[in-house]
Amino acid sequence: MNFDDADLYDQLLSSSDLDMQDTAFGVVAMDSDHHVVMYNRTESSHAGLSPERVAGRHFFSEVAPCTNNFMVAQRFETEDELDATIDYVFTLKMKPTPVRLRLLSRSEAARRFLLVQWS
Amino acid sequence: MELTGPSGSDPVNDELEQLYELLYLLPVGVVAFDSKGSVTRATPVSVQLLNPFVAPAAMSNAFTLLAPLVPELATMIGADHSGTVVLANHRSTLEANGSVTTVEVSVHRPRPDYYVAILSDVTDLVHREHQLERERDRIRLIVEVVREHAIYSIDRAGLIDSWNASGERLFGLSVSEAIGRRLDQIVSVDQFADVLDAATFAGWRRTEGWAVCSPGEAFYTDTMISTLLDETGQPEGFIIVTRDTTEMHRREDDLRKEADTDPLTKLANRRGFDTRADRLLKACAVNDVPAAVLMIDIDHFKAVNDTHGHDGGDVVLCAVAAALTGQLRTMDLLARFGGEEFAVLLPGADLSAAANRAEALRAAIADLAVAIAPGAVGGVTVSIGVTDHNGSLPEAIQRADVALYEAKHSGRNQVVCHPSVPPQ
Repeated sequence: MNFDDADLYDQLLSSSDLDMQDTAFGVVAMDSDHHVVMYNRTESSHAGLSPERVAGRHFFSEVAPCTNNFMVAQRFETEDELDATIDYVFTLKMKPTPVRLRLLSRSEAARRFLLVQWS
Repeated sequence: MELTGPSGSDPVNDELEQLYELLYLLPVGVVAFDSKGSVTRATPVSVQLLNPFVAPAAMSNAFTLLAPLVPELATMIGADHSGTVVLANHRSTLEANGSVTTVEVSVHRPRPDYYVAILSDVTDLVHREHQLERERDRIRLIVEVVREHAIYSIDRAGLIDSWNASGERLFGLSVSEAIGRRLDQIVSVDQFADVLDAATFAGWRRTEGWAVCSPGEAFYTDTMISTLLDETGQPEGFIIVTRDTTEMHRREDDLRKEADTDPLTKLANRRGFDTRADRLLKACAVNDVPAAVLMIDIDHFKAVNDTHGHDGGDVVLCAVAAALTGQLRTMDLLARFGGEEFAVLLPGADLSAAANRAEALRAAIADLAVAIAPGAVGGVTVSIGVTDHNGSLPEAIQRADVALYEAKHSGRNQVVCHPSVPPQ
């Protein structure tokens, strides 16, 4: 599973949560209301937050407010078909860190994904 | 929901996690950096606010990160080597994706080579400030243009603490002349302290009176005192609206006088007599002096009317009214009671004094030569009933009427006394 795979969304949808734990990039899976349903180990160790702590929280307002703007959150909220990769900066452990984000969303899919790749 | 976190393999320090969580969710942006601008730590809100304006690569340096808000930050840091506050509450607006955000930035230097920038989104605050400013402008405009009203304020002690063009126009007082004066030094207010207490208690109070300080023409005022509360609900002063009601007051005054006056003789009418007699009798009671009532009727008045018409009758009525007025003191009350009947109240007179006064009135009328009509000069006489006031006014009037009836029946042009207590 690679960050830039064209069929990554389908791969993720067919993977078990266990298979997604040790990917090279961070994986955040959300339900249609953007509540966290899966927060993988890679993302957890970079952010310093355990999966148990973020489980069930609204990702954009309760976990990662730095994404709560038109560049990330608003695209998930307004676009039915979303597969976009953008350059962004995360403040993981309060350190500004340039990242690449991949935003994956389909209105009919059970899960939406926010993927994080560190350069 | 099932979360298959690999528990135990990478334990996250619980306290550190709580600290991260607090900082991730902190609703203000905090950026720590050194004197070269190199960012050591930043909270998410700083990135959330600036991400649309700054390339990711430029975010690791505070000078480039904060450039949309404070372009000259590097210079400021370079120049500032004293004090801990480098920049305080600096506001700038950011516009992205059609919406405007106002951000307030402060920069502190807690220790040398360690700087902290604090970023707050104050868009809503600025919006409220603008609304307040607009509201203030509107009030200023109202105060500037309003006519015949003065809108100003006094403190809790009643001293004027704000003054403006509306007050200058109405009172002719400049700001420096008005500030510090007590309200009752510009408009008359009875029991001033009580009025302020009542306004504080009820929230407002209205009072009327003459303006007392106007250098120009005197004017009558209607003043509304509204209580201003501070944020704890305690009264901190009063908003005053004073209106020039001179015209209305004069009209009311004129109407009252008109209703109390006989239009022909200009004497008080029966209504006017009742009102004024009431006041006079109270004054007599207070001063413990007697009072007497006279009822006076013109003799053979019907014959005058029959011979000379109503105009002739009016001439006689006016001549008798004038002659009676000439014989009375200003403190005495004379009224045309109805038809050709007059009533007199003599404060300070007992029955015998009243009888003497009545006799003088009768004689003065009998001496008149009235030009009733061209070529027709005639005499006129009156009959008078006298009584002392002892008890109620209607009783006294009734007794005087009985005495008058006796005077008529005893041949007219005479005075008959009828004491309240029959002589032993």
